[in-house]
Amino acid sequence: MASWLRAGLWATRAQLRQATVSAGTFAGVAIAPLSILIIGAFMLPGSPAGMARGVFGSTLVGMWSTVFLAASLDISRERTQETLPLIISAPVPTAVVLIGKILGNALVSFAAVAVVFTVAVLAGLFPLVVDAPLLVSGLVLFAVSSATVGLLVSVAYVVTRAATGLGNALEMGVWVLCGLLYPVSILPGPVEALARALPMTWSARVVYAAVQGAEDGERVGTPVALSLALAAATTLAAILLYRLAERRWRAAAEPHD
Amino acid sequence: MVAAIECQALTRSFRTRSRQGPREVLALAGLDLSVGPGTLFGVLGPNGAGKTTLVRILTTLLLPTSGHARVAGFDVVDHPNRVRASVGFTFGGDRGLYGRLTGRENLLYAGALHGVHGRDARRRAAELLDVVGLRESASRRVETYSRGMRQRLHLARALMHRPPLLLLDEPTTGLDPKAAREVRQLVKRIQSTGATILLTTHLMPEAEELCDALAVLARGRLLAAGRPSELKQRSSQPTVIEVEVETSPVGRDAVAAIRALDHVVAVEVLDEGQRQRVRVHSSGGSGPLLDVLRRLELHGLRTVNVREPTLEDAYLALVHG
Amino acid sequence: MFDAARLFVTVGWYSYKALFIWLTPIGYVMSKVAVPLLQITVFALLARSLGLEPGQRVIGNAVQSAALNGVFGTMMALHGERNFHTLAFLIASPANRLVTFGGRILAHVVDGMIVVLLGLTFGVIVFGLDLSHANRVGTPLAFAVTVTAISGLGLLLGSAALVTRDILLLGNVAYWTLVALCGVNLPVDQLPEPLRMVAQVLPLTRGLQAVRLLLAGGSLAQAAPLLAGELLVGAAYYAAAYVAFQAIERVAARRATLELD
Repeated sequence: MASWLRAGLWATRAQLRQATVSAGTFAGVAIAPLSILIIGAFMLPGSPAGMARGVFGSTLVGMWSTVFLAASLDISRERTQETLPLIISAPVPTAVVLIGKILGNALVSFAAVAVVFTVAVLAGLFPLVVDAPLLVSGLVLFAVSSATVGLLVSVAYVVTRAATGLGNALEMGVWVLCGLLYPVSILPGPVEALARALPMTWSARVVYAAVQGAEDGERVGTPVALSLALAAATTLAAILLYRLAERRWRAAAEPHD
Repeated sequence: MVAAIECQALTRSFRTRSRQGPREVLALAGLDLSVGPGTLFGVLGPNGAGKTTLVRILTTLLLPTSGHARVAGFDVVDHPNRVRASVGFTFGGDRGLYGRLTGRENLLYAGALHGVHGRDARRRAAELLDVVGLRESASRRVETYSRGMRQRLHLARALMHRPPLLLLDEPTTGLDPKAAREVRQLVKRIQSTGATILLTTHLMPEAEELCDALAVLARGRLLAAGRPSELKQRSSQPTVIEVEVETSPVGRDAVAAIRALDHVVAVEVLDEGQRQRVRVHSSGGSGPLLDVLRRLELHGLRTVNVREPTLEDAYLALVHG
Repeated sequence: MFDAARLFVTVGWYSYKALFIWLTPIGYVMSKVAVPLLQITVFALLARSLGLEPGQRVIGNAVQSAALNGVFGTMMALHGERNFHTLAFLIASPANRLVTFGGRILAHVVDGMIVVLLGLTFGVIVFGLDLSHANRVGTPLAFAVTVTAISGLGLLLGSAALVTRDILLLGNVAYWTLVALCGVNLPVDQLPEPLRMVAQVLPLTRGLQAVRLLLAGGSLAQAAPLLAGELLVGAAYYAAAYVAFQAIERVAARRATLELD
């Protein structure tokens, strides 16, 4: 077990290095949240709700976009750089490596938190926070949730070509669906149902609960538990899909000398 | 004693798509092979012979279509994790390493995946970096390494968990002569520690220099196996004994006497001005050498050359008929 | 003049065809259709959740999303020449630079206008946008002027694409600056003074005002000063792009940096 833990931590470390892109590329990803920060803060001047949406909505957008950048092409990259054989042939269960990658990507997403919070504080736009520990918990939950979905996307990309075509639409789809900038209750019924099946939706609720108080008077434990449960389910789905992919690779592969 | 590698009727086919429609390609066709522990075993063959397919099956990256392959007694399909713990491999080339990690970190990560941690891992990594000559570059990112350096790091990584079996797929391909020689020396040093090594190559001098035993594959089948010296006998080329004599002419009687010797296939006499060169083709290696020299000694022996058939001769005879 | 026009159109068509980066229909649909519509949805719903009227945000984001073509499309066309190592042939040709590079934007302007139309249609269907009073002559003209002006910005940034690899950063900065500052999601005068000043020198600011005026039934005469201003801003970017190309070409030739891998 200790051996697995160490292997997992090494996978996290390797992932952090792999995912740490150039400053230029990261800045390219950070610019959208900063734009949303401006929009949210000045769309309804003097409105606490607007300020909260601007600051925390843009933070969540930035975290998800950072994870998407780091995670979505991860398995494809392991394939093209031919490091996948190392992972497949290792005696350590693949699930350990995949969970390590999730943690690495979750950590990377905090770069977006740092950027948005710094700009918001310097510009005097940071709203009062009702519950700081809850905010931190919510951000951590969101980071982990995003990373689990990012990994699932990454595996889906190598399993089916159709997934690759989704690209940026997948990234922005989360902005629309997961209540990053507005409560999901304003979405049409079937769309809202889909939103509630994603772990990020619930962790975003935790973040806003820390800033504005819980939605509809719900107990904050509910979105926390749902976020964790759905993140675990997404991780399991990613692992199972990966094993299916691995089995296919080992059975089919391409002709070699 | 358990064989390090054992293959029985090992078969692997692939479906490929072409303009004429899908077709089945047989990469390995019923291969039977056995490699004893502690051997440096070479697998020779042209492109498409099945060498890389064999290595990928033995590393559990590929499933056989039929037949069996065992590593240290464990079946690659039924006990993949036991096999994985026993095998280290390199596929060589520029890829297969994490460019953003340093050389040392690549080793430590590989060690972690194989259960080598903490102080043991750090010590082992330092030791291997020394062995492969990368100690000075260990803290640099692999993306800054040359091809030769990456290949040496591949070897080090394969050895992190001290596997009893090492699989090297064309380890010197694409390397300049100096780098290639360094890799070969490393391989010999590794073998001296008692590891079993299976090496695929299409470089004859490399196979001859390194390997205790060889197998020749072509079109997925085993054509021949044995020691390099045994395989050379399969050559269609005879041994050539060439003697330059001081005084000419070499008489017909002398030539006839040489031709009558056992294993002598043909005799040529070449005039080179004042001297003559007698070329004897022997099917029995250099066996007739002394008898040939006795029949020519009256003419004064100036130089003697013996050209044995090479492994390349044998390989070409086996593969191309 | 005729030769220049022919070169303009020919280069534009072949460049678009050769460097068309969406390899599958689904990729095209996702990038050109799904992304703009998702962007419209996000900001329209944000406005609605704050008790604001979503319709103006729909119009703003629909027009702004033409920047996908105007900015990214144009930049990627030039970056693609570098990636495919065809830049040398282009630079070494005697063809007029402004025409050869300007020709590239033609297809993107047309493509961009289609994206705007799609966005507005989406707005009508999903958000109940009322376009019944729209000025039918003036509105397409305003689209064309605005998208063309945005493409000038893309061309200027594209000159940077000749010598740098960080074009994603440049493109994203341009794209999201337009979203934040040009009146797309909030009136420009609600921004702090420094940001308002930046908005005045960007394409889209005046063009979007003109589009909103014309969609609400305003006359072309009322929109003309805004469109003239937009054209002027666009022309300034084209001129800057021309100067930048000439300068970069000279520097790159001296330092052999044109085909850096």
